Amino acid sequence: MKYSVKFLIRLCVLWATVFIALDLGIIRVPSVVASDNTSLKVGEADDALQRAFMAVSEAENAGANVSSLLVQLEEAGQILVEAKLAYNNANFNEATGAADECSVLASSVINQASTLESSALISTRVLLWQMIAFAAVGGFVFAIVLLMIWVRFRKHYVKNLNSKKPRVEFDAEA
Amino acid sequence: MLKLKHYKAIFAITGLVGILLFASPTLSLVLHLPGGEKFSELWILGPTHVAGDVPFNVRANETYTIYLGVGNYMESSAYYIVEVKFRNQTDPFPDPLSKTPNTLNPIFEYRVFLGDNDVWEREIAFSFENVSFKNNTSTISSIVIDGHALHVDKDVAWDQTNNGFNYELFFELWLYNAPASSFQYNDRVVGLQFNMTDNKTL
Repeated sequence: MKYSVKFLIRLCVLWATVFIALDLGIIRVPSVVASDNTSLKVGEADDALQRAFMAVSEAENAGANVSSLLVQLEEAGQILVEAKLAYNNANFNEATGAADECSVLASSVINQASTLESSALISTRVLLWQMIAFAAVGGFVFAIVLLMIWVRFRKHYVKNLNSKKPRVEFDAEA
Repeated sequence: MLKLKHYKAIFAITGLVGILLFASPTLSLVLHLPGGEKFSELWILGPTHVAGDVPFNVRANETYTIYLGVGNYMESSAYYIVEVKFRNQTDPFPDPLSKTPNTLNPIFEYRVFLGDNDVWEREIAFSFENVSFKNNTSTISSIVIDGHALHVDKDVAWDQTNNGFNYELFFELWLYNAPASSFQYNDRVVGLQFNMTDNKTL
């Protein structure tokens, strides 16, 4: 009987220790670890999607056509929603798989956006130089033509003015 | 007849305008003039694309459809989240004028990426499952949206003013703010009020 009371006390102490350790998070049961890992993966996928959108915005600001990238982002966004729903339903494997898929798709979009941005920057620079050349040559030719017209017009104006001058006849006898 | 100095001024102005016209394509690439008003749209329409035919009297285990739409007029691509929330009589009311989001947790969300001047519209199917009626109280345990069963567990008492068990499914628009690296409530909310009816009473 004495032995069994001691045993019970030990059991209670052990149970209390395990309970406190679980409560403080010192000991983690597999499902809690899985939940934490999945939560991390879903969070990473969310961040990756935000970074992908930023990359697409930068490519757009550089002048790239990003419509195909937006379609891919939409797809990644739907996968992220699926991952969150699976996580909320404690389907951690499904959630992790979807989160990984979303992250991969987001990374692919970032790479594509970077390539599009580079080519768009080059195209914009070429276009800018073409426009500057057009403005310089066009403006110069226009100014020369206008100057020539002005010179001819002035000559004509002065000639016309001279022809309209009143003539005073000199009377020799007077 | 004009004097020569007046003709000179006309030629000078013509020259200046002409040179500016030649330079305008280049200037348009370099200078960015301020655009118009930037805004986003959020709407719901009934199953026939009309605002008037959104479902009101609903029953358990019956599927209803609506159209949810978002429009982007922000002059650049935008990343939106449409949060779907569900409330009963006692939950906080979504106030479009308060400029603050409703404090309820979303039960579902849509992630939307749109180019400038683009719209996104989607047909949404929803139904109510595990609905019970007891002592002048109706309880909805779950809503199925686009095939996803979502646990809500909301109950309402019989509303004597409106003669029904009134719930509201509403949608809030959130816009990704790149400088802040976070989503911000976009002051857009649309709601779908409905009366849960007992199958036996219909």
